Amino acid sequence: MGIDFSYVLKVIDRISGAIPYTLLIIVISGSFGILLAAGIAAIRIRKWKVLSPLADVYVSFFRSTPPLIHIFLVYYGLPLLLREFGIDADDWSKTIYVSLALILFNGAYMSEYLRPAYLAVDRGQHDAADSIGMTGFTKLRRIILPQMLPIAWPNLENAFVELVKDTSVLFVIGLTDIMGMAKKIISNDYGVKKLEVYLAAAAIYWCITFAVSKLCQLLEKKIMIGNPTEKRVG
Amino acid sequence: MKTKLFGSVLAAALFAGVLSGCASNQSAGANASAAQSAGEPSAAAQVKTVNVALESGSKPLSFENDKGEKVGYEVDVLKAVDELIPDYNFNVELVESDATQIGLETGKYVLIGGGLYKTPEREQKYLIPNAINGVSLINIYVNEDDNSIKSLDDLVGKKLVPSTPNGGIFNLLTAYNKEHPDKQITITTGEGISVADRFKSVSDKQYDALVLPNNLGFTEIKKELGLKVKAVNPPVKINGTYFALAKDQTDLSAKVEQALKTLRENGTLSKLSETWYGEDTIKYFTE
Repeated sequence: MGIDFSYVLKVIDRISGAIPYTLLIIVISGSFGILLAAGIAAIRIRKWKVLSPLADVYVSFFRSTPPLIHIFLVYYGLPLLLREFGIDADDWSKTIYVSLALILFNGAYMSEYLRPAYLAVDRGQHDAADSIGMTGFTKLRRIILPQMLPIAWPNLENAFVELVKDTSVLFVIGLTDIMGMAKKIISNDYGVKKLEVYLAAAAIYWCITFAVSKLCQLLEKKIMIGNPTEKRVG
Repeated sequence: MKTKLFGSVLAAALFAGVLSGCASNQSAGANASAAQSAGEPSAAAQVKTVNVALESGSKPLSFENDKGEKVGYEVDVLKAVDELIPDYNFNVELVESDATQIGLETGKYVLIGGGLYKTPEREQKYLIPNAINGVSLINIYVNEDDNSIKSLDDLVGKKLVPSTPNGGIFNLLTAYNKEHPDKQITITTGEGISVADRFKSVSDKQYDALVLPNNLGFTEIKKELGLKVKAVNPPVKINGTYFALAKDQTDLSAKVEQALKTLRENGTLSKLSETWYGEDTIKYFTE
């Protein structure tokens, strides 16, 4: 049984139609995910009462369960919860639900990259900043962030790359992301050329992941001023 | 992948079950008030939009075509049912089969399809209208040159295309073997073989026979790939397929039942069966 490469190319063209939607989900859940992560990390570092144990449970749960479950929970479970508060969420777009699911997942994951990076900055740096009268935000921006980001960045980059692949579970609730499109093509011709379609999907994921990690490395150069890093393979 | 998916679904269902436990009181209350207001003429005229779910990528039952339109046998049946029930409006979603059931249990969907058979478990969990939405035949498929196989009895000593472990066909064949200790069909299992490849292996005479439901697109695959395969008549088994509704949807369930009966009597189901399966499968069902 040979592989029909001309069909792979043809299918790549068709699956490409789903790239913009997949990118939209990646951008939304990546950017809000890191914001949530920063909030969660702050809560756990400051050890705020009530909030901190809650954050512990949240991080533990979402890091220990696969994204597929999150999507089911958020899409089918959240409307039930909201109904208790009199909110009718049944007509919300599926995009909102999957973004929320991925934001929650990534928020938990990324917070565990930010927190240790923050804690890795030496206590003396805080004291030094305090001694010259820097306020909280200035201290964070001028002293802490420039030192913690180089530590956290390689992990965050990995998280973004993972996020690209996590979008492949969206099809379970009927969304047409890259995997959804691949599944659709397979079922519409009864799986005659299954292998070719999966190859095409793999090629597209590879390209997106490559682009994402290149983008991260560009940003890395900006962050790492004065901190030369080793050359890495994207 | 399959077991992982199953595990995830189980966990999700458990969690959703806990949630739905909290929500059930309130929905019961909503029903009571709906029943009260049903007496008023103004409320009866209101059209209620409800979410219903069919399986995605289940051609020709329900799938999205290249233009992104939802089409298929069950989609058409649901449309016809919707037209007969003026006070409800169906909003059809296509999702994975596990998702249809979770959605029905959590109240996201009021009705689901997917070529469902009536089983005791389903009857206990859902409302199943006492009227078929279609018929699924289990057929033996053989090479066009082969006239030796007429029934399951003739499969003894033949090379059978591997069936999915614990799938419906596997269970059917195992049950046959249990009933006929002296005549054993050789059953092999294999997973992930596409429907098209299974038909092809019979056409190429790699295997002697294939036992498979008729609603997996045989007519179209045969035409598309130019296969030399035929279905043995009569079918091995004839199953009615049903819609399943959430337990609290007694009103809609009764209306769906009435509509499906009408569609069967006026020949709509037979016509749709011919469109999607190439033959009228409804006539095999005699209940």
